Amino acid sequence: MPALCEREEQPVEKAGLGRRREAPERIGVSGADAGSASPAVRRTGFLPGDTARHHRAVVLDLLQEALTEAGLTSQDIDCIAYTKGPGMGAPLVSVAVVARTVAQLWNKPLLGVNHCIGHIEMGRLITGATSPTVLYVSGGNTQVIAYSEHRYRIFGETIDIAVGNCLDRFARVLKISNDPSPGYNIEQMAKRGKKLVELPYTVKGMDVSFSGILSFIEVSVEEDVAQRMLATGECTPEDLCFSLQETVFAMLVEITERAMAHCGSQEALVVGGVGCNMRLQEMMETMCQERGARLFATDERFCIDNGAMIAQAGWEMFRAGHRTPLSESGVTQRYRTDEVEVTWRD
Amino acid sequence: MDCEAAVQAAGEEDAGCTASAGGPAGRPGDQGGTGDPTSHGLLSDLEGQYGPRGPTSPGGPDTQSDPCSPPGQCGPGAPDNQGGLASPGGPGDEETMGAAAIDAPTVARALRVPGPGGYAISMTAGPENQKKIFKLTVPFRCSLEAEMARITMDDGEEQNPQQTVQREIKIKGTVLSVKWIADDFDLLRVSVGSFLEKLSVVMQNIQCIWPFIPRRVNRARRAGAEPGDPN
Repeated sequence: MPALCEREEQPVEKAGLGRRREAPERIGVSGADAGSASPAVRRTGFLPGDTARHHRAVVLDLLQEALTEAGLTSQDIDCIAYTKGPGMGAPLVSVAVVARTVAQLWNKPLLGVNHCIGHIEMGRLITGATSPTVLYVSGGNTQVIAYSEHRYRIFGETIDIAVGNCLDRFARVLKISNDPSPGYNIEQMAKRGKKLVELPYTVKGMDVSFSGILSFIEVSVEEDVAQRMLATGECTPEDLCFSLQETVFAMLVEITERAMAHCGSQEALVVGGVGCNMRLQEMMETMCQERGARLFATDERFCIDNGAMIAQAGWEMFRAGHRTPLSESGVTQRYRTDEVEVTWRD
Repeated sequence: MDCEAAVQAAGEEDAGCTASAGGPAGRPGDQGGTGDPTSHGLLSDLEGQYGPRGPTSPGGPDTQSDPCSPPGQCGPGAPDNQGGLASPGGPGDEETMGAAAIDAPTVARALRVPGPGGYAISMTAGPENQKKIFKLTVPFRCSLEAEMARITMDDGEEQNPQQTVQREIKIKGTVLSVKWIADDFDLLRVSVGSFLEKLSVVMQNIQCIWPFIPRRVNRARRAGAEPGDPN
């Protein structure tokens, strides 16, 4: 019987379930995975209470849908993996409750998975990267990570907001649509940009800071500087989008390269929602080529938060003997990537 | 299925009120939505294993030592109320009731709310510096379900360092009892509301996956093992 691990993913704004079969080519992204169940977001971003309510409303249907689509029953499931953190508390708790209940009902072991490690393990599985330096970039997280002595060590990170958060709020200031996502729309507009507007470039050693860029653009709007630039034709919204991407992505490439130099790494892996951005992948590829390294990246099915990635990480943990007792099956909003002992790797 | 909750009279130290809730019982299939067992393939799996009849039907799975009414008369429902004030009941109404019992030397007059279930709630205002207490009881079909709900809900979330809200969850037979002690009404309301929302999902989950109580799971649970523990 193939070994399977059902997983419930609810880090922030998406709810999804994934399954992981033994053969890598059988990893399924079922219709119940993330992306198909996300609360409607218009203008305000994701609110914890609304997101939690959404997850509570859809999670049981998602569970049934995933099992039906896979043609599985509870007897085919080996363990239940859920996102223990990091993320917003209310959505995390909403689905952790279901995971605990299902684990008891089906009498299956429970595994609390770190969301960031889920991204890393899925990226490694899909791309075949062995021991890459990982650039994890999303709306909630921005970290440069490398594996060392049974821990995913954080070599660098943002000291304020995540790069995806910066992109989203930048889009809000410029009144760019959220549909399908602000980051995607910025990417499309940036392709039509021609002029580079100088924006704050903030790299502090191994870390980055994005709040200055937002302050610049928000203050600029209030003082009509950006509006004046736009009104006089000095620059266009496309130019601002182009400039934003060039600036923030260059910062990310710099700290990633610094980590690769420190570790002597010849592989780089980009994961997280912002990792879907083709311009970021292009800039990372250029850097890797200059270093004689290799870049690994996935498409939007696995970059964006999804159920399968938690199933994958949970599966690795399960095989290594990890179990999460019910008494410890809560959630941790600030679950650091390096808190997990990675016993499934040498 | 109805979900009954009653606020217990707290006694001298936390005088409160008595409430009862009830309504016409519904069959499991009446619930609809995610709790409708007939819309899920899992039901057919369970039927294939244990037969289509309920826990008290002859030859079907039963709960052995656990008293369990025939299906449809009791069991997890979907409590929707938040904050402790019950709304008038109606046919098939599953609202969970509770009321804030606040430290006060006397019990206030009960406010009767018309409805088939005959709800009765009351609230008393006490001195601002006294603790606010809220109690809730929820019956389940069997002690196993109640214990699962307790384990799921008792994650220590309320035990914050400041101890502004204390929550105790206990099981007595097939009844889950919850008691909150808070410094102010707002904290109490938020905590109770959050608990009820999560409990609603737990109950729907149980109802969806366990429309009947499998006999073999009862035997396994008596050992008190962790889920998935082969020992």
